[in-house]
Amino acid sequence: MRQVHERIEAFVRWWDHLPIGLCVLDADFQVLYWNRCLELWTGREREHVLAQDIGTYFHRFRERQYRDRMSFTFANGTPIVFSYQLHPDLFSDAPGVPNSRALRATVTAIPKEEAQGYWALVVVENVTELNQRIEQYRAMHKRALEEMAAREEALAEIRVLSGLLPICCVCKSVRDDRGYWHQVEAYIAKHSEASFSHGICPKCQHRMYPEFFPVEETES
Amino acid sequence: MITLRAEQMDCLAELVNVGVGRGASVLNSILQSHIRLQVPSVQLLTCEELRSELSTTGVERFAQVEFGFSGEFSGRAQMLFDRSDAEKLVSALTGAPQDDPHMDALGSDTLCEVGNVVLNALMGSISNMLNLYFVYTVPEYKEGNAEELATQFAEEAVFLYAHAWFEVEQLSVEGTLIVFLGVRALDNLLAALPCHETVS
Repeated sequence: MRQVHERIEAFVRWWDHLPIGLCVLDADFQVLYWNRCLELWTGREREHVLAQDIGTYFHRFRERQYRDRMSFTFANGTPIVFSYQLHPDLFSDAPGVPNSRALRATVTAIPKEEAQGYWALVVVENVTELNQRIEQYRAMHKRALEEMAAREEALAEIRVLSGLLPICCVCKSVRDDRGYWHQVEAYIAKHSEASFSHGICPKCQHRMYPEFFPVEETES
Repeated sequence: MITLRAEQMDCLAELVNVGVGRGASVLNSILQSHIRLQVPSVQLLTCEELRSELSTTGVERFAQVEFGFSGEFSGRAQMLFDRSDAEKLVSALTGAPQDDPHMDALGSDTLCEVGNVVLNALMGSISNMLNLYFVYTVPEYKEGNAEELATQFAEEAVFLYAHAWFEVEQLSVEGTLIVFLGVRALDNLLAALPCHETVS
């Protein structure tokens, strides 16, 4: 196994200088290579991770569903996409705790030279910035839709209240579009956000009940 | 229409169904929710027939996940969705609100994974059951209308074409699986089918 590590090390020395995370796994999930970028993004140093089962440090890789999917790559060479939305904690230490960075991974197969089967090359991209921009865009989009809806609602209200209302000059009833007459309070309450409470003004108090509300009293 | 013997079509349909069944089981385990995936029909189409099939769907814009394969025979495997269905599917899978779906870079990456799971299972099933060896390219996400998609179809190619139905929670979404094969590739595929010996 040491020879394999040395061969991979020699072959991929320059991978340390790439701005993406790279690791190579054997079919038993042992880490054969771990580049500097992954050290930085996961906080796990190469010397600790190399020759260990990747599941020792990253819980997702201990789970059966992940092992089953990757077993296809080791056996058949099929590629895998681990999207950020479905696997936000792929390189996290604990279940349900997303990485501090948003990482997405693509797994491709490297054919083994001497034996059947493949190694898995895991290419990890940091999509934190992209993710933040998209979240901001989504929030903006949602806010814009809400504001548009509120504006539409306000405009509809203004349209109702600013329309020309045919009103009876005697009883003050209002005529609707279909020609029916309605009490003014009922009509306005139905077509706007306004509601009514009833009282009596001083002038009408005197007019209706002069015995209880003489002129001097109501005027004072 | 390319006509095969009934046994050959049955074998192809079984390959696709086994693959898609595996794909559904993987999706279920990833998403911890019940996803039903069915492939009611499998056809072999010529380029012209595929063009006409896609143009009659009435879909304005397709979302497409694709990877290439080469080895004992070469071709491309694709999964197509109506883009608006794809948005709903991604929202259902990620738990995002259904009334405000997005097919931005995050959404397309998620759909790319869904397509990748199904296509891997399909190609894995072909590879395992027929004992064939392939090398694959990385899955890609693309969008386009039927006309734009048709420009990728080589005239001489043959298309293994299957409708797939996803059922996620209350949502039912239709997808299409297409495997592009050259005529020689089709011959090789048919030769590898277990029912090959029975074909005259």
